[in-house]
Amino acid sequence: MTDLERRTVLATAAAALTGAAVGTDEAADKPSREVAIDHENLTPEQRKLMGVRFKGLEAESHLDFVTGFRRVMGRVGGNRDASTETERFLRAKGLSTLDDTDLNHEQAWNLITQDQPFAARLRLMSTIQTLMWDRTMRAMHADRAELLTALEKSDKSGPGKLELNPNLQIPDYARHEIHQQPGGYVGDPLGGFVYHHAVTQGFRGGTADHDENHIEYTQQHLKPADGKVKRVLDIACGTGQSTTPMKMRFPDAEVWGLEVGAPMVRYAHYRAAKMGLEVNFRHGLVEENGFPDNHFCMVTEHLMFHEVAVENHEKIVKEIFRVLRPGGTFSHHDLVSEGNPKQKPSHTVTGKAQLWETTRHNNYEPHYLKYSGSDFPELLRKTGFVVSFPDRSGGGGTHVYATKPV
Amino acid sequence: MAEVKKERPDFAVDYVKGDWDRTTYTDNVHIDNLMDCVVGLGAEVWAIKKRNMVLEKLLEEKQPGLNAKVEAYVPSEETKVAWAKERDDWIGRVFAVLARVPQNTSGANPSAKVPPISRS
Repeated sequence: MTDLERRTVLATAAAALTGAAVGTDEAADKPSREVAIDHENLTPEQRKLMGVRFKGLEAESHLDFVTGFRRVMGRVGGNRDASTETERFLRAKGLSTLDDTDLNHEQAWNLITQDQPFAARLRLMSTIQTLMWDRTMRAMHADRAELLTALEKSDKSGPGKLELNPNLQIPDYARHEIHQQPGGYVGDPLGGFVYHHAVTQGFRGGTADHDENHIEYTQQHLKPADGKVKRVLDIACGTGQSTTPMKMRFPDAEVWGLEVGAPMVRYAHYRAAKMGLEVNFRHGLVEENGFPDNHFCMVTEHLMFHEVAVENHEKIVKEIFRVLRPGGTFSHHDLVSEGNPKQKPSHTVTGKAQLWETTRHNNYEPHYLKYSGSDFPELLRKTGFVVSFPDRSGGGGTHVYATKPV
Repeated sequence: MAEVKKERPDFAVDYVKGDWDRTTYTDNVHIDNLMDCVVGLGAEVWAIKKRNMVLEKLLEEKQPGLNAKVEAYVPSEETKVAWAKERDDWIGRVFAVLARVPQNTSGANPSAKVPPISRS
Protein backbone atom coordinates (compact mmCIF):
# COMPACT_ATOMS: atom_id res chain seq x y z
CA MET A 1 0.00 0.00 0.00
CA THR A 2 1.38 3.43 -0.89
CA ASP A 3 1.56 6.24 1.63
CA LEU A 4 -1.23 8.07 -0.21
CA GLU A 5 -3.47 5.03 -0.06
CA ARG A 6 -2.69 4.60 3.61
CA ARG A 7 -3.63 8.20 4.33
CA THR A 8 -6.92 7.72 2.50
CA VAL A 9 -7.70 4.71 4.62
CA LEU A 10 -6.82 6.60 7.76
CA ALA A 11 -8.91 9.62 6.81
CA THR A 12 -11.84 7.28 6.21
CA ALA A 13 -11.20 5.69 9.56
CA ALA A 14 -11.11 9.14 11.17
CA ALA A 15 -14.48 9.97 9.67
CA ALA A 16 -15.89 6.69 10.94
CA LEU A 17 -14.46 7.38 14.36
CA THR A 18 -16.02 10.78 14.71
CA GLY A 19 -19.43 9.37 13.84
CA ALA A 20 -19.92 7.76 17.24
CA ALA A 21 -20.96 10.96 18.95
CA VAL A 22 -22.82 11.05 22.23
CA GLY A 23 -24.14 14.57 21.57
CA THR A 24 -24.22 16.42 18.24
CA ASP A 25 -25.77 19.84 18.78
CA GLU A 26 -23.53 22.55 17.36
CA ALA A 27 -25.59 25.50 18.59
CA ALA A 28 -23.47 27.98 20.56
CA ASP A 29 -25.46 27.66 23.76
CA LYS A 30 -25.48 23.87 23.76
CA PRO A 31 -22.79 21.47 24.98
CA SER A 32 -20.18 20.54 22.42
CA ARG A 33 -20.26 17.27 20.54
CA GLU A 34 -18.30 14.67 22.47
CA VAL A 35 -17.19 11.19 21.41
CA ALA A 36 -16.67 8.35 23.87
CA ILE A 37 -13.79 5.98 23.16
CA ASP A 38 -13.25 2.76 25.10
CA HIS A 39 -9.47 2.43 25.39
CA GLU A 40 -9.78 -1.24 26.31
CA ASN A 41 -11.97 -2.12 23.32
CA LEU A 42 -10.81 -0.05 20.39
CA THR A 43 -12.71 -0.63 17.16
CA PRO A 44 -10.81 -1.82 14.07
CA GLU A 45 -11.14 1.72 12.66
CA GLN A 46 -9.66 3.21 15.82
CA ARG A 47 -6.78 0.72 15.83
CA LYS A 48 -6.02 1.67 12.22
CA LEU A 49 -5.73 5.30 13.33
CA MET A 50 -3.26 4.70 16.11
CA GLY A 51 -0.18 2.70 16.92
CA VAL A 52 3.15 2.41 15.17
CA ARG A 53 5.37 -0.43 13.96
CA PHE A 54 9.08 -0.59 13.39
CA LYS A 55 10.07 -0.90 9.77
CA GLY A 56 12.17 -3.97 10.49
CA LEU A 57 11.63 -7.13 12.50
CA GLU A 58 14.94 -6.90 14.38
CA ALA A 59 14.26 -3.60 16.16
CA GLU A 60 10.69 -4.66 16.80
CA SER A 61 11.99 -7.86 18.38
CA HIS A 62 14.46 -5.94 20.56
CA LEU A 63 11.63 -3.80 21.89
CA ASP A 64 9.49 -6.90 22.29
CA PHE A 65 12.28 -8.23 24.47
CA VAL A 66 12.19 -5.00 26.53
CA THR A 67 8.47 -5.48 27.08
CA GLY A 68 8.91 -9.08 28.17
CA PHE A 69 11.90 -8.32 30.35
CA ARG A 70 10.04 -5.61 32.27
CA ARG A 71 7.04 -7.84 32.79
CA VAL A 72 8.98 -10.87 33.98
CA MET A 73 11.83 -9.21 35.88
CA GLY A 74 9.49 -6.64 37.38
CA ARG A 75 7.51 -9.48 38.91
CA VAL A 76 10.69 -11.13 40.20
CA GLY A 77 11.82 -7.87 41.82
CA GLY A 78 8.51 -7.47 43.57
CA ASN A 79 8.11 -11.01 44.85
CA ARG A 80 8.06 -12.07 48.49
CA ASP A 81 11.64 -13.35 48.56
CA ALA A 82 12.96 -10.04 47.26
CA SER A 83 10.87 -8.00 49.70
CA THR A 84 11.91 -10.18 52.63
CA GLU A 85 15.56 -9.90 51.70
CA THR A 86 15.36 -6.09 51.50
CA GLU A 87 13.55 -5.92 54.82
CA ARG A 88 16.23 -8.14 56.41
CA PHE A 89 18.94 -5.84 55.08
CA LEU A 90 17.25 -2.71 56.44
CA ARG A 91 16.47 -4.33 59.83
CA ALA A 92 20.18 -4.99 60.23
CA LYS A 93 20.66 -1.24 59.83
CA GLY A 94 17.92 -0.44 62.35
CA LEU A 95 15.46 0.58 59.60
CA SER A 96 12.43 -0.90 57.83
CA THR A 97 10.84 -0.83 54.40
CA LEU A 98 7.63 0.38 56.06
CA ASP A 99 8.88 3.36 58.09
CA ASP A 100 9.55 6.90 56.94
CA THR A 101 13.16 7.98 57.13
CA ASP A 102 15.04 11.24 57.70
CA LEU A 103 17.66 10.20 55.16
CA ASN A 104 17.60 12.33 52.06
CA HIS A 105 16.96 10.66 48.69
CA GLU A 106 20.58 10.26 47.70
CA GLN A 107 21.50 8.89 51.13
CA ALA A 108 18.64 6.39 50.89
CA TRP A 109 19.88 5.27 47.46
CA ASN A 110 23.46 4.94 48.70
CA LEU A 111 22.25 2.85 51.62
CA ILE A 112 19.92 0.52 49.75
CA THR A 113 22.40 -0.18 46.97
CA GLN A 114 24.70 -1.69 49.59
CA ASP A 115 22.14 -4.49 49.47
CA GLN A 116 23.53 -6.27 46.43
CA PRO A 117 20.37 -8.09 45.30
CA PHE A 118 18.50 -4.77 45.39
CA ALA A 119 21.35 -3.07 43.55
CA ALA A 120 21.34 -5.80 40.91
CA ARG A 121 17.63 -5.27 40.29
CA LEU A 122 18.17 -1.54 39.82
CA ARG A 123 21.03 -2.34 37.47
CA LEU A 124 18.83 -4.58 35.33
CA MET A 125 16.02 -2.05 35.08
CA SER A 126 18.39 0.76 34.14
CA THR A 127 20.10 -1.49 31.62
CA ILE A 128 16.83 -2.39 29.91
CA GLN A 129 15.86 1.29 29.76
CA THR A 130 19.16 2.17 28.07
CA LEU A 131 18.78 -0.75 25.69
CA MET A 132 15.27 0.36 24.74
CA TRP A 133 16.45 3.81 23.65
CA ASP A 134 19.65 2.58 22.05
CA ARG A 135 18.00 0.00 19.83
CA THR A 136 15.17 2.36 18.88
CA MET A 137 17.57 5.16 18.02
CA ARG A 138 19.72 2.86 15.91
CA ALA A 139 16.66 1.70 13.98
CA MET A 140 15.37 5.21 13.32
CA HIS A 141 18.73 6.62 12.30
CA ALA A 142 19.25 3.75 9.86
CA ASP A 143 16.43 5.42 7.90
CA ARG A 144 17.51 8.96 8.74
CA ALA A 145 17.34 10.50 5.25
CA GLU A 146 13.96 8.96 4.51
CA LEU A 147 12.45 10.09 7.81
CA LEU A 148 13.81 13.63 7.54
CA THR A 149 12.33 13.88 4.06
CA ALA A 150 9.00 12.70 5.43
CA LEU A 151 9.10 15.41 8.09
CA GLU A 152 10.02 18.12 5.58
CA LYS A 153 7.10 17.12 3.39
CA SER A 154 4.74 16.93 6.34
CA ASP A 155 5.79 20.32 7.83
CA LYS A 156 3.94 22.12 5.05
CA SER A 157 0.92 19.83 4.76
CA GLY A 158 -2.39 19.56 6.59
CA PRO A 159 -5.06 19.10 7.62
CA GLY A 160 -3.78 20.84 10.78
CA LYS A 161 -1.00 23.41 10.73
CA LEU A 162 2.47 23.42 12.22
CA GLU A 163 4.15 26.58 13.53
CA LEU A 164 7.90 26.13 13.88
CA ASN A 165 10.16 28.75 15.46
CA PRO A 166 13.83 28.19 14.57
CA ASN A 167 14.76 31.16 16.79
CA LEU A 168 13.04 29.86 19.90
CA GLN A 169 15.18 30.47 22.98
CA ILE A 170 15.01 27.11 24.73
CA PRO A 171 15.82 27.23 28.44
CA ASP A 172 18.47 24.86 29.71
CA TYR A 173 15.99 23.00 31.90
CA ALA A 174 14.32 21.65 28.75
CA ARG A 175 17.52 20.39 27.16
CA HIS A 176 18.10 17.29 29.29
CA GLU A 177 18.04 13.71 28.05
CA ILE A 178 14.79 12.95 29.82
CA HIS A 179 14.06 9.25 30.37
CA GLN A 180 17.58 8.58 29.06
CA GLN A 181 16.34 9.38 25.54
CA PRO A 182 19.47 10.18 23.49
CA GLY A 183 19.46 13.90 22.70
CA GLY A 184 16.35 14.46 24.79
CA TYR A 185 13.43 16.26 23.16
CA VAL A 186 15.55 18.91 21.47
CA GLY A 187 18.87 17.39 20.39
CA ASP A 188 17.97 14.55 18.03
CA PRO A 189 16.25 15.54 14.78
CA LEU A 190 14.51 12.17 14.81
CA GLY A 191 13.61 12.45 18.49
CA GLY A 192 9.87 12.24 17.80
CA PHE A 193 10.20 9.02 15.83
CA VAL A 194 12.50 7.59 18.49
CA TYR A 195 10.18 8.53 21.34
CA HIS A 196 6.97 7.23 19.79
CA HIS A 197 8.47 3.94 18.65
CA ALA A 198 10.08 3.34 22.03
CA VAL A 199 7.21 4.24 24.32
CA THR A 200 4.45 2.43 22.47
CA GLN A 201 6.46 -0.78 22.64
CA GLY A 202 8.42 -0.43 25.83
CA PHE A 203 6.31 1.49 28.33
CA ARG A 204 3.45 0.17 30.42
CA GLY A 205 4.32 -3.42 29.83
CA GLY A 206 3.65 -3.18 26.12
CA THR A 207 -0.05 -2.45 26.56
CA ALA A 208 0.04 0.94 24.85
CA ASP A 209 0.72 -0.14 21.29
CA HIS A 210 -2.26 1.84 20.08
CA ASP A 211 -2.00 4.74 22.51
CA GLU A 212 -4.52 3.13 24.84
CA ASN A 213 -2.78 4.78 27.77
CA HIS A 214 -3.28 8.26 26.36
CA ILE A 215 -6.86 7.64 25.35
CA GLU A 216 -7.66 6.42 28.84
CA TYR A 217 -6.70 9.61 30.62
CA THR A 218 -7.68 12.13 27.94
CA GLN A 219 -11.20 10.73 28.02
CA GLN A 220 -11.32 11.70 31.67
CA HIS A 221 -9.90 15.22 31.48
CA LEU A 222 -12.30 17.65 33.12
CA LYS A 223 -14.45 19.62 30.69
CA PRO A 224 -16.08 22.97 31.60
CA ALA A 225 -19.28 22.77 33.60
CA ASP A 226 -21.23 24.30 30.69
CA GLY A 227 -19.97 21.52 28.39
CA LYS A 228 -18.77 24.00 25.76
CA VAL A 229 -15.42 23.06 24.30
CA LYS A 230 -14.49 25.29 21.38
CA ARG A 231 -10.72 25.31 21.83
CA VAL A 232 -8.32 22.94 23.57
CA LEU A 233 -4.64 23.42 24.33
CA ASP A 234 -2.46 20.42 25.18
CA ILE A 235 0.74 21.76 26.73
CA ALA A 236 4.08 19.95 26.37
CA CYS A 237 2.36 17.71 23.87
CA GLY A 238 5.50 15.82 22.83
CA THR A 239 4.61 13.52 19.94
CA GLY A 240 0.96 14.50 20.15
CA GLN A 241 -0.26 11.24 21.63
CA SER A 242 -2.22 13.17 24.23
CA THR A 243 -3.35 15.82 21.71
CA THR A 244 -4.98 13.74 19.00
CA PRO A 245 -7.27 11.93 21.47
CA MET A 246 -8.66 15.34 22.49
CA LYS A 247 -9.59 16.02 18.85
CA MET A 248 -11.17 12.58 18.69
CA ARG A 249 -13.11 13.33 21.88
CA PHE A 250 -14.21 16.82 20.74
CA PRO A 251 -14.30 16.60 16.90
CA ASP A 252 -15.66 20.13 16.44
CA ALA A 253 -13.13 21.83 18.70
CA GLU A 254 -9.99 23.66 17.56
CA VAL A 255 -7.23 21.61 19.15
CA TRP A 256 -3.64 22.80 19.66
CA GLY A 257 -0.52 21.05 20.86
CA LEU A 258 2.34 23.14 22.27
CA GLU A 259 5.84 21.70 22.59
CA VAL A 260 9.35 23.04 23.18
CA GLY A 261 11.15 20.28 21.28
CA ALA A 262 11.06 20.88 17.52
CA PRO A 263 11.86 17.23 16.68
CA MET A 264 8.94 16.17 18.85
CA VAL A 265 6.38 18.67 17.58
CA ARG A 266 7.33 18.04 13.95
CA TYR A 267 6.64 14.36 14.51
CA ALA A 268 3.40 15.20 16.34
CA HIS A 269 2.19 17.10 13.29
CA TYR A 270 3.38 14.34 10.95
CA ARG A 271 1.52 11.74 12.99
CA ALA A 272 -1.72 13.74 13.29
CA ALA A 273 -1.70 14.42 9.54
CA LYS A 274 -1.26 10.70 8.85
CA MET A 275 -4.23 10.05 11.10
CA GLY A 276 -6.28 12.53 9.07
CA LEU A 277 -7.00 14.65 12.15
CA GLU A 278 -7.06 18.46 11.99
CA VAL A 279 -4.86 19.22 14.98
CA ASN A 280 -2.59 22.29 15.11
CA PHE A 281 0.84 22.35 16.68
CA ARG A 282 3.01 25.21 17.89
CA HIS A 283 6.72 24.98 18.67
CA GLY A 284 7.09 27.11 21.76
CA LEU A 285 7.27 27.53 25.51
CA VAL A 286 4.24 27.23 27.76
CA GLU A 287 5.53 30.15 29.82
CA GLU A 288 5.60 32.39 26.72
CA ASN A 289 3.03 30.72 24.48
CA GLY A 290 1.65 33.73 22.56
CA PHE A 291 -2.01 32.66 22.68
CA PRO A 292 -4.63 35.35 23.52
CA ASP A 293 -6.20 35.86 26.94
CA ASN A 294 -9.30 33.77 27.76
CA HIS A 295 -8.80 31.78 24.57
CA PHE A 296 -9.11 28.12 25.53
CA CYS A 297 -11.93 26.16 27.13
CA MET A 298 -9.61 23.37 28.25
CA VAL A 299 -5.87 23.19 28.89
CA THR A 300 -4.56 19.66 29.34
CA GLU A 301 -1.24 18.37 30.57
CA HIS A 302 0.27 14.91 30.67
CA LEU A 303 3.43 14.43 32.72
CA MET A 304 4.99 17.86 32.08
CA PHE A 305 5.49 19.63 35.39
CA HIS A 306 7.77 16.98 36.89
CA GLU A 307 10.10 17.56 33.91
CA VAL A 308 10.19 21.34 34.43
CA ALA A 309 12.45 23.16 36.91
CA VAL A 310 10.20 24.22 39.80
CA GLU A 311 11.44 27.80 39.54
CA ASN A 312 9.37 28.04 36.34
CA HIS A 313 6.17 26.50 37.66
CA GLU A 314 4.58 29.73 38.89
CA LYS A 315 5.06 31.51 35.58
CA ILE A 316 3.67 28.55 33.66
CA VAL A 317 0.62 28.17 35.88
CA LYS A 318 -0.11 31.90 35.51
CA GLU A 319 0.05 31.50 31.73
CA ILE A 320 -2.35 28.57 31.85
CA PHE A 321 -4.72 30.70 33.93
CA ARG A 322 -4.38 33.62 31.49
CA VAL A 323 -5.21 31.66 28.33
CA LEU A 324 -8.19 29.85 29.87
CA ARG A 325 -11.62 31.44 29.55
CA PRO A 326 -13.70 31.91 32.71
CA GLY A 327 -15.11 28.51 33.55
CA GLY A 328 -12.32 26.87 31.58
CA THR A 329 -10.52 23.86 33.04
CA PHE A 330 -6.95 22.73 33.49
CA SER A 331 -6.39 18.98 33.85
CA HIS A 332 -3.08 18.22 35.54
CA HIS A 333 -2.15 14.59 34.97
CA ASP A 334 1.29 14.07 36.39
CA LEU A 335 3.38 12.21 38.91
CA VAL A 336 2.55 12.70 42.54
CA SER A 337 3.69 15.79 44.45
CA GLU A 338 3.04 17.02 47.96
CA GLY A 339 -0.30 18.67 48.64
CA ASN A 340 -2.45 15.99 47.05
CA PRO A 341 -4.81 14.47 49.66
CA LYS A 342 -5.38 11.37 47.50
CA GLN A 343 -1.75 10.35 47.10
CA LYS A 344 1.58 11.41 48.58
CA PRO A 345 5.21 10.77 47.67
CA SER A 346 6.80 7.96 49.64
CA HIS A 347 9.18 8.89 52.46
CA THR A 348 10.41 5.37 53.21
CA VAL A 349 13.98 4.32 52.49
CA THR A 350 12.98 2.28 49.46
CA GLY A 351 10.55 4.96 48.25
CA LYS A 352 13.16 7.68 48.50
CA ALA A 353 15.80 5.47 46.91
CA GLN A 354 13.48 4.63 44.03
CA LEU A 355 12.74 8.32 43.48
CA TRP A 356 16.47 9.12 43.45
CA GLU A 357 16.98 6.26 41.02
CA THR A 358 14.23 7.59 38.76
CA THR A 359 15.34 11.20 38.82
CA ARG A 360 19.07 10.54 38.62
CA HIS A 361 19.57 7.30 36.71
CA ASN A 362 16.94 4.91 35.37
CA ASN A 363 14.35 7.33 34.01
CA TYR A 364 16.64 10.38 34.24
CA GLU A 365 14.25 13.15 35.18
CA PRO A 366 16.45 15.91 36.65
CA HIS A 367 13.57 18.09 37.94
CA TYR A 368 11.34 15.35 39.32
CA LEU A 369 12.80 15.35 42.83
CA LYS A 370 12.05 19.03 43.51
CA TYR A 371 8.64 18.73 41.85
CA SER A 372 7.83 15.77 44.10
CA GLY A 373 8.61 17.87 47.18
CA SER A 374 6.61 20.90 46.03
CA ASP A 375 2.96 21.61 46.81
CA PHE A 376 1.66 21.88 43.26
CA PRO A 377 -2.06 22.00 44.15
CA GLU A 378 -1.36 24.98 46.42
CA LEU A 379 0.34 26.79 43.54
CA LEU A 380 -2.84 26.29 41.50
CA ARG A 381 -4.95 27.75 44.31
CA LYS A 382 -2.62 30.73 44.79
CA THR A 383 -2.95 31.50 41.08
CA GLY A 384 -6.73 31.68 41.37
CA PHE A 385 -7.89 28.22 40.36
CA VAL A 386 -10.55 26.21 42.14
CA VAL A 387 -8.87 22.86 42.73
CA SER A 388 -10.38 19.38 43.02
CA PHE A 389 -9.00 15.86 43.24
CA PRO A 390 -10.89 13.21 41.25
CA ASP A 391 -11.11 9.60 42.35
CA ARG A 392 -9.19 8.19 39.44
CA SER A 393 -5.72 7.12 38.54
CA GLY A 394 -6.11 6.13 34.89
CA GLY A 395 -3.09 6.35 32.63
CA GLY A 396 -0.59 6.20 35.46
CA GLY A 397 0.27 9.13 37.70
CA THR A 398 -2.17 11.27 39.61
CA HIS A 399 -4.83 13.76 38.60
CA VAL A 400 -5.69 17.25 39.74
CA TYR A 401 -8.47 19.35 38.24
CA ALA A 402 -8.37 23.15 38.27
CA THR A 403 -11.14 25.46 37.13
CA LYS A 404 -10.84 29.17 36.38
CA PRO A 405 -13.68 30.89 38.23
CA VAL A 406 -16.44 32.46 36.12
CA MET B 1 32.01 23.13 -10.23
CA ALA B 2 29.18 21.32 -8.51
CA GLU B 3 27.06 23.39 -6.21
CA VAL B 4 27.53 22.52 -2.58
CA LYS B 5 24.20 21.42 -1.20
CA LYS B 6 23.22 23.36 1.89
CA GLU B 7 22.68 21.17 4.90
CA ARG B 8 18.97 20.54 5.46
CA PRO B 9 17.55 22.22 8.57
CA ASP B 10 16.59 19.62 11.13
CA PHE B 11 15.69 21.97 14.03
CA ALA B 12 17.80 20.01 16.53
CA VAL B 13 19.71 22.12 19.08
CA ASP B 14 22.37 21.62 21.75
CA TYR B 15 21.30 19.42 24.62
CA VAL B 16 22.56 18.51 28.08
CA LYS B 17 24.16 15.06 28.05
CA GLY B 18 23.14 12.85 30.95
CA ASP B 19 25.54 10.70 32.94
CA TRP B 20 23.41 7.71 34.00
CA ASP B 21 25.57 5.44 31.86
CA ARG B 22 28.49 6.02 34.22
CA THR B 23 26.62 4.68 37.22
CA THR B 24 27.77 1.57 39.03
CA TYR B 25 25.16 -0.25 41.07
CA THR B 26 27.01 -3.30 42.32
CA ASP B 27 30.26 -3.54 44.29
CA ASN B 28 32.19 -4.35 41.16
CA VAL B 29 31.89 -2.47 37.87
CA HIS B 30 32.63 -5.64 35.97
CA ILE B 31 29.47 -7.17 37.35
CA ASP B 32 27.52 -4.14 36.13
CA ASN B 33 29.14 -4.44 32.74
CA LEU B 34 28.49 -8.16 32.51
CA MET B 35 24.84 -7.62 33.40
CA ASP B 36 24.57 -5.03 30.63
CA CYS B 37 26.19 -7.46 28.27
CA VAL B 38 23.99 -10.40 29.18
CA VAL B 39 20.80 -8.38 28.85
CA GLY B 40 22.00 -7.11 25.48
CA LEU B 41 22.68 -10.66 24.41
CA GLY B 42 19.24 -11.65 25.53
CA ALA B 43 17.71 -9.03 23.21
CA GLU B 44 19.83 -10.23 20.33
CA VAL B 45 19.02 -13.89 20.92
CA TRP B 46 15.32 -13.17 21.16
CA ALA B 47 15.43 -11.17 17.91
CA ILE B 48 17.09 -14.11 16.19
CA LYS B 49 14.67 -16.63 17.65
CA LYS B 50 11.72 -14.52 16.57
CA ARG B 51 13.07 -14.13 13.04
CA ASN B 52 13.64 -17.87 12.88
CA MET B 53 10.09 -18.51 13.94
CA VAL B 54 8.81 -16.17 11.23
CA LEU B 55 11.06 -17.76 8.62
CA GLU B 56 10.13 -21.28 9.55
CA LYS B 57 6.46 -20.43 9.36
CA LEU B 58 6.83 -18.85 5.95
CA LEU B 59 9.00 -21.65 4.63
CA GLU B 60 6.62 -24.24 5.88
CA GLU B 61 3.72 -22.50 4.18
CA LYS B 62 5.41 -21.73 0.86
CA GLN B 63 8.23 -24.11 0.01
CA PRO B 64 8.84 -27.01 2.34
CA GLY B 65 12.13 -27.92 0.66
CA LEU B 66 13.79 -24.63 1.52
CA ASN B 67 14.59 -25.62 5.09
CA ALA B 68 17.14 -28.12 3.79
CA LYS B 69 18.65 -25.49 1.49
CA VAL B 70 19.09 -23.14 4.44
CA GLU B 71 21.20 -25.78 6.17
CA ALA B 72 23.40 -26.21 3.10
CA TYR B 73 23.75 -22.55 2.11
CA VAL B 74 27.20 -21.12 1.17
CA PRO B 75 27.34 -17.30 0.97
CA SER B 76 29.03 -15.39 -1.87
CA GLU B 77 32.15 -13.31 -1.18
CA GLU B 78 30.08 -10.11 -1.27
CA THR B 79 27.65 -11.57 1.22
CA LYS B 80 30.51 -12.71 3.42
CA VAL B 81 31.80 -9.12 3.60
CA ALA B 82 28.37 -7.77 4.42
CA TRP B 83 27.87 -10.37 7.12
CA ALA B 84 31.26 -9.62 8.63
CA LYS B 85 30.23 -5.99 8.99
CA GLU B 86 26.97 -7.11 10.52
CA ARG B 87 28.89 -9.30 12.96
CA ASP B 88 31.20 -6.46 13.97
CA ASP B 89 28.28 -4.07 14.48
CA TRP B 90 26.61 -6.69 16.65
CA ILE B 91 29.71 -7.23 18.75
CA GLY B 92 30.00 -3.48 19.23
CA ARG B 93 26.37 -3.21 20.33
CA VAL B 94 26.61 -6.00 22.86
CA PHE B 95 30.19 -6.21 24.09
CA ALA B 96 31.55 -2.65 23.95
CA VAL B 97 29.98 -2.03 27.34
CA LEU B 98 32.47 -4.41 28.92
CA ALA B 99 35.16 -1.76 28.44
CA ARG B 100 33.14 0.90 30.28
CA VAL B 101 34.98 2.88 32.98
CA PRO B 102 32.67 4.14 35.74
CA GLN B 103 32.82 7.63 37.19
CA ASN B 104 31.41 9.30 40.24
CA THR B 105 27.86 10.58 39.66
CA SER B 106 27.02 11.93 43.09
CA GLY B 107 25.72 15.46 43.55
CA ALA B 108 23.87 17.63 41.04
CA ASN B 109 22.78 16.59 37.57
CA PRO B 110 25.03 17.68 34.66
CA SER B 111 24.37 21.07 33.10
CA ALA B 112 26.93 21.32 30.28
CA LYS B 113 25.42 21.47 26.80
CA VAL B 114 26.72 19.40 23.86
CA PRO B 115 25.98 19.72 20.12
CA PRO B 116 22.98 17.96 18.57
CA ILE B 117 23.29 14.31 17.72
CA SER B 118 25.48 13.81 14.64
CA ARG B 119 24.00 15.08 11.39
CA SER B 120 26.23 12.94 9.23
